[in-house]
Amino acid sequence: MQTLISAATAAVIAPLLGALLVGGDRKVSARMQGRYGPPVAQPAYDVIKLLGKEGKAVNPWPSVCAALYLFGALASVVVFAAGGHLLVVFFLTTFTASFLIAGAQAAPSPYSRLGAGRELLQVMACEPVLILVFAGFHEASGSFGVYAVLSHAAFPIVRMPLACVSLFAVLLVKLRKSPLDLSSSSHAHQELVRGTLTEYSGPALAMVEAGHWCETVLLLLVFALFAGSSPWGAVLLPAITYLAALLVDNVAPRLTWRWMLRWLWPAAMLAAFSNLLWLHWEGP
Amino acid sequence: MTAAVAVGAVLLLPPAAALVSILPSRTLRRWACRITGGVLLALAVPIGFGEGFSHTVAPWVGTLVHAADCLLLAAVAAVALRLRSLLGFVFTAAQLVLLLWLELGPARGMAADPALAADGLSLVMALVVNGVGGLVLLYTPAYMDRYLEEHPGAAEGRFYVFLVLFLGAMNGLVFSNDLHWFLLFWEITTVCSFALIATDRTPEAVRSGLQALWMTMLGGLCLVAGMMVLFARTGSLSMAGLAQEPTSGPALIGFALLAVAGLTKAAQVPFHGWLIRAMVAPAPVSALLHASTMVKAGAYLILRISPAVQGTPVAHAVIWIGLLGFLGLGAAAVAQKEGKRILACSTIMHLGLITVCAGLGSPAATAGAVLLLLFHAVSKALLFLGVGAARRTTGAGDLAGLRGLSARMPLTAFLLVLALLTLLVPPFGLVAGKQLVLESAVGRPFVLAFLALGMGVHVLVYARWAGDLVCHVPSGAERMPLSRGMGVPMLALGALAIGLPFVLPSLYEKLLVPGAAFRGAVEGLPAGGTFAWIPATGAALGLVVLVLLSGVLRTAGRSWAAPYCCGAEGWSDGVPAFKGPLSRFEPHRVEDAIFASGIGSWPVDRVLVTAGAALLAALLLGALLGAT
Repeated sequence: MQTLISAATAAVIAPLLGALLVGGDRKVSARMQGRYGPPVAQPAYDVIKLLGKEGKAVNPWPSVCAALYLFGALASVVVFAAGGHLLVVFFLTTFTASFLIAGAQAAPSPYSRLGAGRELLQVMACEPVLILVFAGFHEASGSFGVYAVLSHAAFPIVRMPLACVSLFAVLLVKLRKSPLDLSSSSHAHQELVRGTLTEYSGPALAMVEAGHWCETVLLLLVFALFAGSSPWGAVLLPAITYLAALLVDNVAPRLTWRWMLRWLWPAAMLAAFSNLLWLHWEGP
Repeated sequence: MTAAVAVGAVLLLPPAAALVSILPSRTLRRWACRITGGVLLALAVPIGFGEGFSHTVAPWVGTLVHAADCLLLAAVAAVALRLRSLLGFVFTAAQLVLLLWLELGPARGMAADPALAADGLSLVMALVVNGVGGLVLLYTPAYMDRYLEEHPGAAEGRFYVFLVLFLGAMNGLVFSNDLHWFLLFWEITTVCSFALIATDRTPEAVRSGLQALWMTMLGGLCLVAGMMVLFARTGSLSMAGLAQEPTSGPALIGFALLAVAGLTKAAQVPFHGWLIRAMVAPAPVSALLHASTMVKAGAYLILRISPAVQGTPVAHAVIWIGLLGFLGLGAAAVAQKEGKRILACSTIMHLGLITVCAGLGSPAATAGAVLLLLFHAVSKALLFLGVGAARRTTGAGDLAGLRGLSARMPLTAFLLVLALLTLLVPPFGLVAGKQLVLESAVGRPFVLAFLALGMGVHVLVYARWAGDLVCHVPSGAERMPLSRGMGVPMLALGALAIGLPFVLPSLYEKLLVPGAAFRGAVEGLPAGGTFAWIPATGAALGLVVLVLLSGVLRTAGRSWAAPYCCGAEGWSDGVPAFKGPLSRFEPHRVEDAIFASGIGSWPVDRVLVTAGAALLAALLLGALLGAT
C-alpha cells in the first residue's frame, strides 16, 4: 500500500518538480548572464499553452513516440520512487531514450534525423555508464533495491566519487545543455535548429517537455542515492550537481559529437569502471 | 502414451513430408509443408508443457543410426569434393575417419541408454522448434511462390525437402540422449543449412553455403573428437551422463572440444562470418535455421556442458567469446546497410549473450539463457519473416528501401517495429533475460563493463531502425497488400511477442525454471515474482498504446506539414523539398553520415576474427593446461 502511495505521489510530483527546476534553471542562468529572467513557473505556463494549441506534424508517428517517451520517463520515476529495482529503472530509461530517438527518426526531416543520429551516439555513451553506476551501488550496498541502497549507509559518495563524476556527464547529456547539447538544444540557435525536437509542436511538444522534466528529476534522484541514508544530503547533493551543471552550461562552448565520442565517452566509462573495480576489490 | 505419439509425430512426420516433397509437384510440396507446419504447431504446446520422458530403442535402430552417421558424412565429403571445397572435404573426411575409428574400435556396439530422453531444457527447445518452426512452415509457401518468380533458377524441390527435413532433425537433436544420435541430427542440420543457403544456385549462394559447411563441419569434427575423449575418460556417451560438476583432467579437453562445436554452430566469433553470409538464403531459412532454431542448437550444447566446465579456463574463454560477439557484432551491425544482415549481426549478439550466460553458469544465468532462447526466437523469426514479406512485396531489402515502409505496408511495418522494440525495451520478455544476465554478472566488473557497452550499442542498432520504418510522408503512396499466407503467421508471432510477457511470471515458473533445472540445482533462482513488473508495466503501456492508436486512426484525412527547412520548405512531386536556387524546390534526404564516416569505417570484422581466434586458442590451451 505504501509503495502504491509513493508511486502515485511520484507520478504527480515529478513533472511539477521538474517544471519548477527548469524554471529555476532559467532564472539562475539569466542572472548569470546579467538578465532578470522569466518567472519560475514560466515553463509550466508554456506547456499548458502548448497543450491548447493545434499540433502541426509531418506524420502521426513522432507524436505517438512523444507520448511513449513521456510514459517511459514517468514510469522510471515512479518505479524509482516506489523503491523498485535499479536495473528495472535502467531498462525504463532505455525505453525513454529509444522513443525520443524513434520519434526524431520517424520524421522525414533533415534536422530531426541528424539530431536523432547524434542522440543515438549520446545514448550509446550514457547507457553503459548508468549500468556501471548502478552496479557500483550494488557493490556498495549488496542490493539493487532503491530503498536498500538508501538505508544501507550514509554518503556512499565517499566510496564512489568517480561514479558520481561520470554520472555528472550523463546529467549534462540528458539536460541537453552545453557543452553536450549536440542532438537538441534548449535554444533553437544552433546548426541543428532544435535537432530531435524540430518537428514537434503543440501537444506533442508539451509531452516531450513534460517527459524531459521527469527525466531530469529521475537523474537527480539517482544523485540523491549518493547521499545514502542522510536526508539533508539527499536534498543538497542533487541541488549542488544541478547548479554545477548550470555553471558548466554558461561557461562551456558546445562540443562536437566527434569530441564526445573520442574523449568524453571513454573518460566517463573509465571513471565509472575504475570506481566499480575499486568497490569490488575493497568489498562491501 | 499420447505424449509418445506426439513426440513420434514431430520426429517422423517431417521426414515423411520431405519424401513427398521429392515428387515433382509444386501443389504437393506446398501442402506437405503447410500440413507439417500445422501439425508441429498444434503439438508444440502439449510437448513443451508436457512431462519429460526417456525412451529406449531396439539395438538395431542404434546400429542404423551409426551407419547413417557414416553414410551421411561420406556423402557430404563427396559433395564437398565435387564443389572443390578443400576445407569442407578435409574436415568432413577427418570426422568420418575419427567416427569410423570410434565405431569400429573402442566404442563398438556401444549405445547410451535411453537413446531418446527429454528434460526441461529439451522441452523448452522443442517448444521453440515446433512452435516457431510450425509458423515458419505455414508462411513458407506464400513466400516461395513470389521468390521463385524472381529467382527462376532456384532449386525449389530441394528447398522444400531440406526445410521440412530440418525440423525433424532439430526435434531429434533436442531429444537425443545418446551422443551418437545427437551427432547424426547435428550433421543433418548442417547439411540442411548448406543446401538451403545454396537454394538460389548462384555462385555467391553456393560460396556462402560452402563457407557455412566448412565452418560447421569443423565444429562437427570437434564434436566427434570431444566424444572420443569423453568416452575414453568415462566410458559413456550419454547426454545425461555429462559431468554435473567442474571437471579437470583429460575430460576437460573433451568438454572444451564440445564447446568449440557449439560455438561454430552458434556462429560465435571467430566463426561469425558464415551466418552473415548465409543471409543470401530465402527469408524462411533465415528465420528458421539462422535465427530461431539451428543456431540455438549450438547454444544448447554449450549450456549442456556448462556445469562441467564451471570455473575452469574453458568457462572463462566461453564468457569472453560471448562478450566479444555481443559487443563486436553490435558494432558490425551499425555499419551494415541491408536489413537481413543487420538481423544476422543481431542474432549473433543475442547468441553471444546466451553464451555468456552458459559461461557464467550460475542458476540465475542459466535461467536467463533459457529465457533469451525462447523470446529471441519469437522476435527474431518475426523480424526475418517481416523483412522477407517486405522484400517480396516491395522489392526493397536495404535500410534506405525499407524507410517509410509504413506508407506502403502498414501492417508489416507495425509488426517489424513491434519486433524491434521487443528486442530492446521493457515490458517485453528479452529484458527479463537481460536482467538475469546483469544480475549474474555482478561481482565480475570486467564482464559487466562489456555487457554494459553492448547494451548501449543495442539502442544504436534497433531504435534507429524502428523510427526509420515509420518515417514516411503521408502523400497517399500506393498500399501494397500483404498476402494472407504470409500475414497470418506473422500476426501469430506478433501476438506471441505481445502476449507472452503478460504471463511471464507463471511461464517462468512452469517452463523456464524446469528448463534451467537440467543442471540439478534450482535453488538460488529468483522467484517468478521478480518479473511481476513486466506484466504490470505491460498493462499500463497497453492502455496508453490503445489511446494513442485511436488517436492515430482519427488523424485520417487531416493535412500534414512539410518537414521544416528554415522556412524554405515545400514539396517537389510529393517529396519533401526546400526552396533552392532559382526558387525551384529541391528534394532533400539525410543519410546517416555519422555511422558511415564514424563507426562504419572501423575495421570491425578483422578485429573480431583476430580476437576471436586468440580467445579460441586460449580456450583450447586453457583446457590443455587444466588437463595436465
